[in-house]
Amino acid sequence: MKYISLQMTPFDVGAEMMKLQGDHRGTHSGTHNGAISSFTGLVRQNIAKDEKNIVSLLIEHHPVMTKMALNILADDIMQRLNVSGIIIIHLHGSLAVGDPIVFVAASSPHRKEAMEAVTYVMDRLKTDVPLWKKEIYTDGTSCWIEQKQSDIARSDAWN
Amino acid sequence: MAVLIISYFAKIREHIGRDQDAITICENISSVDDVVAHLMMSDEHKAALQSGGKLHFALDNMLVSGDTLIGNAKELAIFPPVTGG
Repeated sequence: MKYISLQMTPFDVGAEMMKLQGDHRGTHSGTHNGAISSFTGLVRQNIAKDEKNIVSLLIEHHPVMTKMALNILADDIMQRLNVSGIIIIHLHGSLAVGDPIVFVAASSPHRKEAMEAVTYVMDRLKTDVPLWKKEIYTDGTSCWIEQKQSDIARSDAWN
Repeated sequence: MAVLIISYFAKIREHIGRDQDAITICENISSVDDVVAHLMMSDEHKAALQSGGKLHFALDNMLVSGDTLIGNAKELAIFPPVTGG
């Protein structure tokens, strides 16, 4: 089971998890799953830089390539690890502090693969998927987020 | 002569102030790097293309390196390093 979504509306973590749990119960193909792992990313209020507070986060995407890259990432992890189900949801547009940005969940027979799959997808999201974040601050200024060397190192470590 | 649409994203798009440009592909433009060099001749583009760190490219929605030939491509996307997740 693979579910990819690039959307502007918030997602329901519980409902998304149930998709994988339903898969586990045999409503789709998998009946041998013993684990579901997930990650939800949220818009943080405070950042250290200049002690500015974020009022919102703008996420820009590519009209074609972003969805393609998410699909490639999902296919990649299902081939790489013994993962039977994967969900990747990424929001775009303007998000408020506390809003969810991204949801990744994976199911597998044992916990190790599901947990690794979620980490892998998050690491690769930071370097392989055409998405760009811009922070909007309470004082009216804004700043495009720069890619971090630590994110590149984490992504490269999977090679 | 063929026309190539140049699409800009994120910081680069904002810096230039529009989503796209269209350029005519003349004889001295054969690769992505040639297109970038051509755009850099204007101060407006030069400042924008140098504003976002390493440049990434896609020809007709496929990621490519700077030395890739334009060929019959219709669109070149130029964007800064990604920051999703």
